[in-house]
Amino acid sequence: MKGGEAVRVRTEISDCAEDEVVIRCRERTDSTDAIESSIKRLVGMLSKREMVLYSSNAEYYIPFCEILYFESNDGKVYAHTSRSVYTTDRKLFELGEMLPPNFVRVSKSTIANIDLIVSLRREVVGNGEIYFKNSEKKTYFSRGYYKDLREKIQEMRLR
Amino acid sequence: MKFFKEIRLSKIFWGLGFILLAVFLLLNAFGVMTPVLNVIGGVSVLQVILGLFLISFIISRIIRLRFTFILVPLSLLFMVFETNVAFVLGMEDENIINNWLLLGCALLVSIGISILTPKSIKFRKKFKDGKGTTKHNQFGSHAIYIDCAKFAEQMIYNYLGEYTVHFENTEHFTGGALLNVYNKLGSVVIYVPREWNINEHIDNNLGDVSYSGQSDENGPTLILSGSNELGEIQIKFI
Repeated sequence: MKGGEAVRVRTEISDCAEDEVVIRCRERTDSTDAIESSIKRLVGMLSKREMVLYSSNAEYYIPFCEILYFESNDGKVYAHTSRSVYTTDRKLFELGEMLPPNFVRVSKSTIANIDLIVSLRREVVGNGEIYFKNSEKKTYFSRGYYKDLREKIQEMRLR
Repeated sequence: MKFFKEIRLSKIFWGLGFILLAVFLLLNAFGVMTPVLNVIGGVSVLQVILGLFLISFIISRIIRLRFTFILVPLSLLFMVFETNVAFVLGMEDENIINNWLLLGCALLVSIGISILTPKSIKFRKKFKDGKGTTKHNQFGSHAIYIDCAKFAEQMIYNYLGEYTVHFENTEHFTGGALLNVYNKLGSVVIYVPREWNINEHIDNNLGDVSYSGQSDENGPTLILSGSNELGEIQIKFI
């Protein structure tokens, strides 16, 4: 697998005892190593369904499905659930790499959980607001991230 | 009626203002307004536009019970319609009073009133004392996270922007803290835990202060103070 070459991605259904991901290649290269480590990280994250967050000097184990969005502000990164605000010791770019694929960057300072998005409200200038299911909270998306955000939302929903 | 409840008062005010202006311009273009305007000595379109804006500003100050600088727009209004006033009063000289003298006097009286007004002195003292911290936002979108472990007093100033207020470490909140919000032509959203009680006395001027959700009257109290001029403050209990 040489750098820049297209890689086929397919899923095979078989009678194997447990699910596995196999990378089939002609030789091991930097690209295959990168794909392998990415898949391992992703599989690890998907198997862990909770995240360690902090509030009032206490640790909380919050399921991903409850986190609406992450926002960086004044050097700290905050995680929002519908009722609470927590902090995390991770940087936003680290979260971008390790979070499940339903967490999508929506602005320079925000990563949102698209599974919980109920509405996007776009303004004339291109930026807009994001509303979440069963929550009074809203956050904002930037014009530059709107196209990707909308595509990813549409991939996961029927039209 | 539900429609009018859902949109804020300032929007109704400015919306109707612009519609009335458009109606006036159309009627004027067809010459319908000419006989009416001639009664008061002929009023130009520019005078009407300036007059409407000045009257709007004066009304907003009166509603807010703040008369400090009301004399300045009043004198400007007089300057705009000076010839018409002279015409209605039957005076031959259109120049009733020197405009610069009138404006200067209005400004001096306003400065005098602002110095004598206790509210003004109190506001300046707060800044000098440096109680709490002040966060500013102009035009942009900004969020502030108030740490309840250290929260006693906080001032936020928002001008034509969108400001979001969150509270973190809410378990440490014992009540009695003061949040001063000064919002001009902008939007402020404050997310308050529903276990808290709110004691709100925001000075609202042609804007909208709205609530959503339920609070606990027996919970620790957050004091909300400040002013809202032609803007929107939403208090959401989460």
